[in-house]
Amino acid sequence: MANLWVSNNLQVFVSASIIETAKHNILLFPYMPQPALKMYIKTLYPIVKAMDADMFPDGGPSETDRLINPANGQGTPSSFRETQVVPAATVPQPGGGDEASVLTRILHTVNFIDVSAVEGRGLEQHEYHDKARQYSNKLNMVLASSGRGSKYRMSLPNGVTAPQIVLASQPVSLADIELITMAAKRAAAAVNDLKVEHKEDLVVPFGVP
Amino acid sequence: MAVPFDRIPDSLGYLVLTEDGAVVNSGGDLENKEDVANQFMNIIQTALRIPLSSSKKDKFKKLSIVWDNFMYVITISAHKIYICKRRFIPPDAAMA
Repeated sequence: MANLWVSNNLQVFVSASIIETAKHNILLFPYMPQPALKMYIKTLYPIVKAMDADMFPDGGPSETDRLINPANGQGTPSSFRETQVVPAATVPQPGGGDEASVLTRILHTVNFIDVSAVEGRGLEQHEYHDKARQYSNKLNMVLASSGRGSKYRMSLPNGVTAPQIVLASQPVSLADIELITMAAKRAAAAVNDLKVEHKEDLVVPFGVP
Repeated sequence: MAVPFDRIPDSLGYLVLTEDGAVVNSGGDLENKEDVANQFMNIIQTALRIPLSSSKKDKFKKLSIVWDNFMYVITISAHKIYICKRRFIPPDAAMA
């Protein structure tokens, strides 16, 4: 099985769709917790297997080959050392010249997507204003045409011409306050007094033989 | 066109809001009180739906919320909402 490298320094989240289309590309992983890593490995495994077939067309070491020959306890017989998928807590240590050569081979054969190099394209001031105006125009058109739109519009009435005169005017007379308080009290009492008069049962037992 | 809130007699504080409830100006007891402004917006929007007459376009000129000693007076002008907190002196008592 080809190597999966886990690196600690990238901050990028890779989406599954990129993984699916990137059959010939390797993506460097950010540091991630073990369950997420397992999920990634599951999605990546078929792609990595296909990559394996591309890279070793004559059939290299497969995942079922033993790492250590049990009879004489020698090292791996294959030409490069198998690196297991490392859990996120540890960083894989470079294990010698074999691994370095494999790495350079991968670097040369495979196209990399460097996701850290993407820069955000900021909107310019005039673009932002233009877009805002366009969107608000479209919104207004839709709102005006739909009859129900007026429920959401916070259209204020025209109001008074001189607010300070209204604000400084005489306060409400006591008689009016008394009237309103009594009316509100009686309305509240009436609503509380609503009762259900039971006439007939809704559920009636039938005598079916 | 700044409304002279200090000219209003017995004024204890004021708030000026836009149509959507954003605070434009505030002072006195109501200075920087955005939460109070939000509550006022709720009251105003409910009150705006009360039909005052058969014509749908008649809305309130002045909205007063009255307690024992103070009151809030609310009015709308030129797409802005003006709220003034004033001392409440019952006008009948003043005459007695």
